[in-house]
Amino acid sequence: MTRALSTSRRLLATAGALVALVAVTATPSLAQHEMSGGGGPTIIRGFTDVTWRSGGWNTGRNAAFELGQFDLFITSQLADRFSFVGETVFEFDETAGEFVVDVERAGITYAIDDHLRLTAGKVHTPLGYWNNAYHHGLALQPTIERPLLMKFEDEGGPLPIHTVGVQLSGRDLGAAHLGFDVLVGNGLGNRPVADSTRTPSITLAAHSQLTPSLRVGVSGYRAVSEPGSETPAGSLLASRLTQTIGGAFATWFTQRAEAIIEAQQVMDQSAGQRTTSPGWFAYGGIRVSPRIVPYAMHDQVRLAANDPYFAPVHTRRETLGVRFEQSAAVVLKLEGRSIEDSARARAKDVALQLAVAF
Amino acid sequence: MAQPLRRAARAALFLTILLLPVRLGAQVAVVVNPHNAADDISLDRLKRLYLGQATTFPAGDHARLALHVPSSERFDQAALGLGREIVRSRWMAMAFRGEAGTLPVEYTTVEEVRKFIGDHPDGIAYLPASLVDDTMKVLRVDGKRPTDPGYPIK
Repeated sequence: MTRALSTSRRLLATAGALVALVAVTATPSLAQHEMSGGGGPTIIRGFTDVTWRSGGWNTGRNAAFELGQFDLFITSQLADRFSFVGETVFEFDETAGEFVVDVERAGITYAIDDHLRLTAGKVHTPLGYWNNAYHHGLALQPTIERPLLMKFEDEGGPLPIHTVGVQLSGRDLGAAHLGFDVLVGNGLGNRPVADSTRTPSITLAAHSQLTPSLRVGVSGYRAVSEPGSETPAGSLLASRLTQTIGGAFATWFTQRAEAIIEAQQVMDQSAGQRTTSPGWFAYGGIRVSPRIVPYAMHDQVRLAANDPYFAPVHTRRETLGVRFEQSAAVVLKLEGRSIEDSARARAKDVALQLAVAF
Repeated sequence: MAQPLRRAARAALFLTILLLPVRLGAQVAVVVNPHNAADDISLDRLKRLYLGQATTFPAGDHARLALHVPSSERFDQAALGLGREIVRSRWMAMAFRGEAGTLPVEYTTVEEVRKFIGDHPDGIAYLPASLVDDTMKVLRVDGKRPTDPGYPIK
């Protein structure tokens, strides 16, 4: 009881401090820093966040502040029809014990016309909705953390979030306002300069923006990994692995309500054995005032017990939160989460995040 | 008796003059270059353009977007059904995804909007209907002009 009271006091104090910070620093405009480039302006934007987590409740952590990714995002109009998008993240690597730099995206795009674009470089694999809508800047993301299914590869996520390759994209095609993505790239393991197999990964995705508020889509991915390749489980593959991922999503965004539901299923085939690992999440929020959105999310991932690629685990999480949007660039989120997996007891925590774009 | 009546009539006339521009200005007109072939645009297409989901006019020609900042709150609510900050957030997210090639250009004065439309045959913008002149072509929205009953952007 005393501990709960103490945690509540700390939370209130932190919330008060962050709200005061928002009130003092928030400006309604989105800052851009322009520099002259070869063919047009180069725009640098940045994202960062500070999160306070309560710890306790079987989380194995102490209450603490967490400095999030420091994300620099650059766009540049290189020449007529050619543009560049780059995203570089500075983050603290607990294993290395120091800040490290990750090039999360670097893509050169050729706009064939108003509807078709060809991009070469490192991109977010067009699997489902969340992975393409929300990248590393948390001010744009509706929740504090990504769904378990969409966690980054280096955080134990099951999907190939990034791919290096060539992507053809189409948007707003025909009366159904169809869009598509075809991505041919390096295979599992996301190596930016080489591939351990001669067979490239292929991602196919299609969606329809049925109305300005409603979007539905499907996606598929296929890649192979050769024997001896390292797996997320930390072991080496004994046999050739073929991984196939299929998924679907629907999103609904209006002034009042927002909803995202998405499912992906990973099928691994190796040495005549086939396993299936499903995951899904559902997010919903209601805007109760121009700046305040209470929301809830359920997400879960079940990695198959005898899978040759993943360490088996079944994780479920429930999230209840509220988002305060001072502006598009300054967002405060408060969440209570409950998470359990097949290896640990249920853990609960509270988190408060101030995320900004600058 | 005649004196109070005259005063009341003067007050009514004054109020009418005062409120007339406001009433006319309540409608937000969608304008393009006079050489643009488009005469009409659906509200659905307009929404898709100003939410970054489409980049072309109904006939398929490229559309270059601009907005009149003082009218943007009214336009976003009436035409897009969204608050200004939500629209800004959507555009910011698209820019961040690398999907928004060109953000709508923001102008604070009608003169700037007028110049933008004059300079760009593919330009589209909006501004108070009362401030439109013959250097711009007003598009019908869902078949209705700003002065028509049932015009959707007001």
